[in-house]
Amino acid sequence: MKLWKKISLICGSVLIVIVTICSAILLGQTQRKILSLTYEQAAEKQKTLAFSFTETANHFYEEDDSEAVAYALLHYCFSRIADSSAVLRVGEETVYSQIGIRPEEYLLPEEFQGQQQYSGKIDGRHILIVGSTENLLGSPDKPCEIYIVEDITPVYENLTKVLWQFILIGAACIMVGLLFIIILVRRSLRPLAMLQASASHIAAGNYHERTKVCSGDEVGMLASDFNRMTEAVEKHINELTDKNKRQELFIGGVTHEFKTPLTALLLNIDTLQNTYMEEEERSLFLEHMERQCKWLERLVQKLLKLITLGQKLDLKRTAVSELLEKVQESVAENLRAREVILEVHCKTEMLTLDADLMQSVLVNLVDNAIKASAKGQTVVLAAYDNVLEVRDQGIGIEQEELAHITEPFYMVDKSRSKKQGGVGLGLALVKEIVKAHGALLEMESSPGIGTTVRIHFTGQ
Amino acid sequence: MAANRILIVEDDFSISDTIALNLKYVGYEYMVFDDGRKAAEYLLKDHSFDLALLDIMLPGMDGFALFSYMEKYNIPVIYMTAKTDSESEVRGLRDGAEDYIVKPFEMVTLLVRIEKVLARTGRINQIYRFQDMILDAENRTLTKAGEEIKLPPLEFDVLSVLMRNKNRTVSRERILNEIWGEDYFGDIRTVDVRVANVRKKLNLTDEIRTISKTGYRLEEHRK
Repeated sequence: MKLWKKISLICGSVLIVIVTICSAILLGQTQRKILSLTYEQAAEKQKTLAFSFTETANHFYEEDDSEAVAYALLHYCFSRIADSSAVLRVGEETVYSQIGIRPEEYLLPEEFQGQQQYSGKIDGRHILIVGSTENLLGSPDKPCEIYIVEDITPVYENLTKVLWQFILIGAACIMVGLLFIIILVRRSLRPLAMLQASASHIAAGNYHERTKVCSGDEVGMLASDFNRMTEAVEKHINELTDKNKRQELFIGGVTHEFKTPLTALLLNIDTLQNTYMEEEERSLFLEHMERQCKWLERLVQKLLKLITLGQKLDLKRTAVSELLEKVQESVAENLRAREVILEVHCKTEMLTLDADLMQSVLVNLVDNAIKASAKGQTVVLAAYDNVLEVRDQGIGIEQEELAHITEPFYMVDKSRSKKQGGVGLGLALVKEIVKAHGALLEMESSPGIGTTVRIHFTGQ
Repeated sequence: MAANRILIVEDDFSISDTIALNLKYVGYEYMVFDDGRKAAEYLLKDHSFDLALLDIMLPGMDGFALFSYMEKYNIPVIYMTAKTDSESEVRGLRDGAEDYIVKPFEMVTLLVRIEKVLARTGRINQIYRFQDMILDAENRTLTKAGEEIKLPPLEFDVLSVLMRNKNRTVSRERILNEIWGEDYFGDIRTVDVRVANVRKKLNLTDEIRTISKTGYRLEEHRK
């Protein structure tokens, strides 16, 4: 069952119960009031009748009247003041009555102590009887009974009418109330429906979807939390997708890089097996194959390094000047061969780093700088303010290339790099090592002017 | 008709060198370029090639761009690439390339495809030379030192296959297939009998070498 139906049902039930209880209480009170009013009126009427009759009868009383005269006189006096509902009985005899009901059957005169009442159904009609016993002058032994017998059926009929009116009005109230409840509940639940629609969109993969609910209530709060959650999900999904894409590219690169030397190797083996060649040609082929194998080995080594990096970082406070000296030693031969000058400036004493890995980073960067430099140009290796810097005046790199050069297997000049034995992983490794140190790699370059690479050690 | 001339554009020397040497041994002529642009520039001067082997990922100009030059000079193209995704395959073949070969491939596959493309485009050289012998496969004539020699048809065909694959091992199955067709399930020793006859008649005992468990090879000794 839907929420709006549930809430409407609960509210409707409560409404029905309340309306019913209220109506019942109100109806009961009305009934009691009307009935007691009717009784009071009848009692008053009887009292007045009894009083007037006693007065009149006493006034006309004479001691020597015969019994017949006395009865006639009483009948006369009573008939003068009584209406059709009155009944007079004297000493077990009905003196005056215009109705078929015998009230003495319902009220017992012996027990009369002042006024008495009876109400009940007689012959299918609601009858109210009020009676009293009065002692008249000259007849103390024969008390006279005065009754008022009223048919109060119309009162009951009116009450039934009122009951029906109450039921109708109550039902109408409940109907209207229910209608309002349903409308209000649906309106206040509309944000939830919108939220639900958004959620199902998002579940279908539209992570950029946001719900537009902005009410100030709990639903509004839920909506804003929901939006925050979606944002987090979107961010994570994007990150994962990105990572996946990068990994795919990397694997694609690895596959391509392996395929080429493997193709060459297979071709060479095939040729050696199936082709007639002179001895020196044969050894030429074997040399080729050796070169390819070595290249593959270097590729595997670098890949292994790249993959296992970060698991075995050996961070120590290291004297920067010693580190730079070691780098200088490693690149010395290359410098001589290409006739490039290396300047070293060291203004930082200690840095926390993995000396071996950072040395390979710097050697890599300096080697790249040497390759980019022409004969006689200067490469600067400097350390200052938690920064290690390698700067050259070489050919430089185009801006759009710069963004890609740390990607695995990216080579600016592929055939030249390959001839120099590069596998296209050097700068990718540099980037990973720097990242593992928590440091920042910054590269600036303009073609014809040179390239500057800085490693910023943060938090030292 | 001179030997077929083949253009190789491949940036990886280890591959292009091997292919070039193999082509040379079999008797093709070739040119190698490691850069798409350089190849395109050379074509402006000299475009008498019977076939081009193109890598797709090339410095200078990629293989697809180079294709338009090949089209211009009516040179059939076989792509060789490590790109295995079907997208580039579809693109390559829709552009009109004759064939497509994915690295890593076997030399024999490449050679067979080269032969097929050359035959399909009617450019295949039907005249094979070995020492002082000239075999014309089209007119079915064989001369040795200028003198015409008559051989029975099957022996002529065996010699023709060996000469076409000069210096390369040819398996008995391949000889059988090339001469009798793929559906022939004959005795493989029929090949041995024909080869023995050819050896004896043309005095090629040393040159036609038996490669154990495989087949035969017509070796051109250069010393």
